[in-house]
Amino acid sequence: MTALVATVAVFMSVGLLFVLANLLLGKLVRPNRPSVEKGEIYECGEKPVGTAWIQFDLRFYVVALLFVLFDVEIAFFFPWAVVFGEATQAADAGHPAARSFAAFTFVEFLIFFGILLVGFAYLWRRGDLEWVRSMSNERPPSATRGG
Amino acid sequence: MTDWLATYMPHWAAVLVAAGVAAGVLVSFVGLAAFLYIWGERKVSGRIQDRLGPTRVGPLGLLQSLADGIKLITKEDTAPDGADKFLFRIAPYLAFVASFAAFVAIPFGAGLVPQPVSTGVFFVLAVLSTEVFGVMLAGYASGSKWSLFGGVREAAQVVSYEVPRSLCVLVPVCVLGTLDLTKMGQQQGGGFWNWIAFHDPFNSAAFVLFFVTATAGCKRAPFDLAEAESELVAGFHTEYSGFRWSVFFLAEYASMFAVSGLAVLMFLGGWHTGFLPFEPTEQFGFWGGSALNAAVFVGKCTLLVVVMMWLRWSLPRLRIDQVMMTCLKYFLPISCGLLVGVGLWQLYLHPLIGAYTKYVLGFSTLLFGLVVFASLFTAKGVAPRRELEGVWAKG
Amino acid sequence: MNLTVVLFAMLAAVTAASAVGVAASRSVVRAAVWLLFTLIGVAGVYFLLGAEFLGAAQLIVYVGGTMVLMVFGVMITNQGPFAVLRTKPVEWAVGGVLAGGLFVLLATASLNFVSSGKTPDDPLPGISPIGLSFLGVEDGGKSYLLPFEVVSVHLLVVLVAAAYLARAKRRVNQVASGKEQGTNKEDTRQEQGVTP
Repeated sequence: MTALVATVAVFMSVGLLFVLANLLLGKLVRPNRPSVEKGEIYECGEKPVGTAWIQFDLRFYVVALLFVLFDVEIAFFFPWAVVFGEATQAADAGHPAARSFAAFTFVEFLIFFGILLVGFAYLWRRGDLEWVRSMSNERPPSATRGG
Repeated sequence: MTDWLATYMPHWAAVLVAAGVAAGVLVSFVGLAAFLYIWGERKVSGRIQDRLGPTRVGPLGLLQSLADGIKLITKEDTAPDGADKFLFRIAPYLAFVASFAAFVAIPFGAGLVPQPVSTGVFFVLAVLSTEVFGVMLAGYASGSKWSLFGGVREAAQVVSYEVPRSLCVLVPVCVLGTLDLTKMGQQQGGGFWNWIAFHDPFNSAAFVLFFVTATAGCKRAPFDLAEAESELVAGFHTEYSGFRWSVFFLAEYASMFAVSGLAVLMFLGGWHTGFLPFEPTEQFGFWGGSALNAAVFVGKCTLLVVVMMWLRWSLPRLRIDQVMMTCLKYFLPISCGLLVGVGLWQLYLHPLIGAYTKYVLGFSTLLFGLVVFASLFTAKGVAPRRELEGVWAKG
Repeated sequence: MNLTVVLFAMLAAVTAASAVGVAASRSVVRAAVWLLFTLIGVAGVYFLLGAEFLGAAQLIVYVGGTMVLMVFGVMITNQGPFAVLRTKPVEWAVGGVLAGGLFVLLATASLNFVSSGKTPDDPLPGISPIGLSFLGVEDGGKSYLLPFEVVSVHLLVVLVAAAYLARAKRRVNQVASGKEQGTNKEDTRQEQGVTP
């Protein structure tokens, strides 16, 4: 697939050049007068307080991790979906055996999918997917809502 | 085109020249489309908010984007002193190149594609999924709180919405039996009832869900949490200025067009008009037919992009936990259900009633569309042509 | 010199140079960006070999998923300006030995490679043979049905483990914030992440 890689490479270079050319063109005409104020981080006109390096809640991360797992799983579905679609199309074109083959692949897919959905259902049931509720549970009663 | 060029030059040069021409045409197309879409977005938002939108620059304000472009290029390009300068500068390149490279595999007509890819739709999804990196880096490298919040939100949101989006893509694939976007388009020729969106109820639902999740994937309102100008100043691009800032919007409009293109190719008949009973390239020759095909394709995509704008100016923004939970608790189970449902449909119901469903769904959608369209002109009090009633009423 | 060789040389150069960048970079996020280019380069090699599906899966899983997750992890946990890695000389030595060993191994493997006789310009079989062998019905080829189903069990284990880790973290928070009021500040900060 030389042609594909060559085309992608050309597209990426053209995209880069497009942005670069415009920025270089701008460099010729735009002013460049840096000052202390311009170099500051924007914080609504005030002097910045503290840094941007804040420890976030890890819940964000866990939810994203769940989705990456699903991503991996879905990558495996694409070949199945193609086989299934081809088989049902062959069945519509008058090959009855193809439909039972499609049913067979569908069962295999359901086993694959079902195993993961069991895990998903378990997490749901345990309340790991709850966002706000698990937040309010863990706060000590004296702590009021800040932020 | 490569074969034709190969008669004049060595094969490798033909490949590169063909790719170069395609890339040149498409980069101009993306630039021009963003130019017009930005104007369109301002007009649409103006009308929705009972304003006129741009009117001064050129006829109907059409040259407003040009004026903006000149301003952006001549504007000072600043970077905060506290930023990671290297990452700050390369982030826009990453965002734009990722969304532009997706156009490699998107066919604008039968055979009118820079490079046919047999895993087309998977390839486009994969390439588009790398766009998030530019936005995240922009958020991280700026060293600003607003930017960091924007970047974190973008990462969580895009990674999440990729999953239901891919699941929705699988639904038509189960019917079409191919990932090649050109073949997908070719299978939906003829009448509009052959479009996959009307094939069965699951595909109709998958189209809607794909469109919603794709809107979220392009960080468009009501899912524009990364930008959220009323909460995060400007989110990930708070510290950017000038042309470097606008590159993010070029990337956003390019990926809006790309996902609309995917939706059109998979669900809405691709480049087919929906009423011509033949393939235009066979009747009018390759270039004549392709011109028609490309026009139809771009028209359909633009329609979807306009719907995205319409949504943006109609719906309030969601909160971040609502965005994540909507994906996790609604979109993900629904898309799983659609996938299983379409499998069962194809196995058991399609042989029985598949021949009629497409007519029922197709014509009822057409009828519904016509009723809505007609009600635009007949509904009372919608158009502000008459004097407003209420406290302003005379007498 | 044909185009394939030139493209391979370019991809290999990009991949190798960014891999060196990963090792040499002291900022975590910069290392992640270099790793991004490495992974894209590897995906390019897959495309060049005709493994379109593998290349696209590499992009969607590693670049669009795992790398995002890594940078995301750095973004939400770092406490200082642009988290910096410090490498001890002994770590360089161990890493260098391991890298050298891996290089020798890979070089031996690739020098002993027997060509299958296919060229980069051969037409591709498409995606359905992959699906057929996943589903265990490829005649002539191997059946990968068992690995296919084992993958889903594996993913299930990872899913539950991820949720368990999140829960463990939460329990620690609960104990800590119950013990002293001082951690309220921490809670407030955390909340900024959720509803800033």
